[in-house]
Amino acid sequence: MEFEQILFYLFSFWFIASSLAMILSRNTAFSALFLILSFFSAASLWLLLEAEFLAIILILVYVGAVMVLFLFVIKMLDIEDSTLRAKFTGYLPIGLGVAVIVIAEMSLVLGVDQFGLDVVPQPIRHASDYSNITELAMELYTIYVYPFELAAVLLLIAIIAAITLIHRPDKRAKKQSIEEQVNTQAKDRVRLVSIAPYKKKDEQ
Amino acid sequence: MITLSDYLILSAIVFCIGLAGIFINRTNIITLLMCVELMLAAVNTNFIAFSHFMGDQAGQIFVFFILTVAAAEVAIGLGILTLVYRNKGSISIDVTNSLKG
Amino acid sequence: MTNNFSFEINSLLVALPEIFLLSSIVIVLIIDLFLTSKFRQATYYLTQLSLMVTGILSFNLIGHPETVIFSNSFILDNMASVFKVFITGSSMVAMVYTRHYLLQHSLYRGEYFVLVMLAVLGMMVMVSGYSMLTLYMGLEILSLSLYTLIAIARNRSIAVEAALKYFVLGAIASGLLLYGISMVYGISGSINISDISAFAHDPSINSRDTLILNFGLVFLVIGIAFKLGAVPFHMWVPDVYEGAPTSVTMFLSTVPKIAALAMLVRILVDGLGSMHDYWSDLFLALSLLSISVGSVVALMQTNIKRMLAYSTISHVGFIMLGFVTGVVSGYGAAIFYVLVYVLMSLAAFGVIIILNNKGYEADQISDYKGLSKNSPWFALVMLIVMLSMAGVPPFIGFYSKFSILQEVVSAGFITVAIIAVVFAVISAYYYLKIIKFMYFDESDKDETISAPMDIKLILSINGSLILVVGLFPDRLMNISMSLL
Repeated sequence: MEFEQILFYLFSFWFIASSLAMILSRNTAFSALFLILSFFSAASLWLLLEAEFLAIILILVYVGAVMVLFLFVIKMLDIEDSTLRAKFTGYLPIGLGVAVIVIAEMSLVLGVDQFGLDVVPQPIRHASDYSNITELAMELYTIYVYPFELAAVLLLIAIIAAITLIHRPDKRAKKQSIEEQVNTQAKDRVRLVSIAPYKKKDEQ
Repeated sequence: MITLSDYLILSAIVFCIGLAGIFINRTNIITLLMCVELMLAAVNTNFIAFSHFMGDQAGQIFVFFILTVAAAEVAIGLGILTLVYRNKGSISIDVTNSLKG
Repeated sequence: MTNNFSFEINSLLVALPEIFLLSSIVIVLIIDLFLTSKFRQATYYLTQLSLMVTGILSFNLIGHPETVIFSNSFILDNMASVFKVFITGSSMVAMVYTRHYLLQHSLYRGEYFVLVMLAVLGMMVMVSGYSMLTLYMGLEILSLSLYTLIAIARNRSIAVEAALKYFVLGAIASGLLLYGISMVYGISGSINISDISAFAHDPSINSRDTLILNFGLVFLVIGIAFKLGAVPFHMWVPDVYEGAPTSVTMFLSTVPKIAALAMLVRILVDGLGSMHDYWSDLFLALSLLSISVGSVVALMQTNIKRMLAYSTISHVGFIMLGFVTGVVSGYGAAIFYVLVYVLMSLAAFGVIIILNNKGYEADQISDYKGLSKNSPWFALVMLIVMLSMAGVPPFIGFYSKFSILQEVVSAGFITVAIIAVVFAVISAYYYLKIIKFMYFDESDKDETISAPMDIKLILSINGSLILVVGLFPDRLMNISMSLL
């Protein structure tokens, strides 16, 4: 067995094992940590596929930012696991059973007959001075400039959304609103209520 | 040698694990979101494998954008999740079932 | 490395509507920050102005020769321009009702309008998308804006839950769609619609290529069905329609359908048109399920927003039926149906919004009891909408159903047409139920409903269009047929 093959099977094993552990773990924080392990294995596989830039981005952006955000929310919301997992076991056998069948079917379609080496030959490895980042950047800022601008719009939405949804004006701050004070009229402050006079019955 | 088929089957397995995870954890929204991330990781592996074996950069570019979108999506998703928690005091919702009829 | 990139400022002119809209979004966003509460209505007027100018710019591009720019990722053809005009136009109508609703429910915030404009931008990107990547980006811009719009009523538990549900299922749908795209990319070697189309139309295509294309196609169709809300991927529709603030429900149930249709045409007709035999079977199953489930389950609803949700599901079934035929006139009938549906749905939600009095949601069907006595005009508009949705001539809803069924029959699916007609008749029951409530039941409360002038005007135009276009459907029909 070649060294590359050993690496492939090692990383694939970790990718699948940690994914399984993620969906089966009863603790949400552990799930998040297993997902991080999955991402690391995926990044290693991407390195084997000569996608160095994306592999690094996956670690930096995903593990570094997104997963930390996940962990932050998990800890901030303080979720009690017992209620969440009430239905867990009921769906487990069906879920995994269906998954195994679907995987078997998909493997038939994606098998060696369709994507084996005689159909799709092994590409020639790039020379050591090949720069994946330069290559991507050349295309990203020329051919794909339109989607690139759209990605900027998308990030703008994310900013607007996060602020609109979550930001609360600080209630503790007692600020004077001069406009409101000047516009106040007497009817906002005093309400005259007419109450009919009456006598209690036992006084009679 | 590692064939393209190996990579595709690997990502199919991970994709299905993600899908199965959605059905198993249908009331735990945070794990649900993580399952979606797992599905996206599988899709990304698909794209990169195709891109490598075809010697075409488009697949890697696509992955770049998927990562961007997913990061934005997570920001909004966790925002909504926080709102649900503020309103209900819990985040246990069954998303796959209609609550009433 | 070969660099075939060319860049000319002039070529960007065909993307002028999008560029203008994006610039005005940024400007409105900044202006809104500095507005005092006295001038906060300015955001609304600026939004309407920007949408109107965008619409006019798109209108001017109708008849422009087909142009592809940005290295095959943006296409301008007649379908794109006409759809953009309809998208901006119906968004403007929706905004008129929306302002009224937002003011009454104290949800009025500048961000709301900015997010609506961003959603419109996303839809315009989808309509003009000519590569899988731009279609996907447009879809996500639209979806992310919609998730936020639903959750903008952040103190309403039901709204944020609906947003969460929509978000999770939308993310799963995106995942499935992307898996399909990855397969199509892997076999055709490109993410451009034109290259994919050339690959799929190549007569030398072998059985391996067809197998993998099919495999990807299944995921693509599931992803699209999720987004359209077709049965069995419809579970988010009723909850989101009910939970979202009515103004958001109105927006998300109408305009995005046009964009989703455009995406469907780009991917499945322009791109994978030669694979029609494979995807039409899936579409047939999805549309029959949608028509039947939508018609039957709607009968049991007591909430009018949920009822309209199921009615939408059955309308989506009819739209998909147009694609089963596999002929250009069938696709044209589907486009006609979508435009008609948007027109009817805007009026229906318009009436619902008007009946919302001061923070009270009139979303129970029983709230419509005796409406004809309290406010005869609104009741009349609702009557027109309901009859039209039920498919009663001479209203426009009749022609849209009729043209779809005509195409289905001429394509040889006679049984399918009969099933569709049967369920259309069943669905007439719940539309008539509302009419019965409005005209033959006594109201338990006695109050006249007042609405500002602009809403009355728009609602009247909207309602009379349903009748007028119903009497003279040829023009809209010709437009729809000429787009493909």
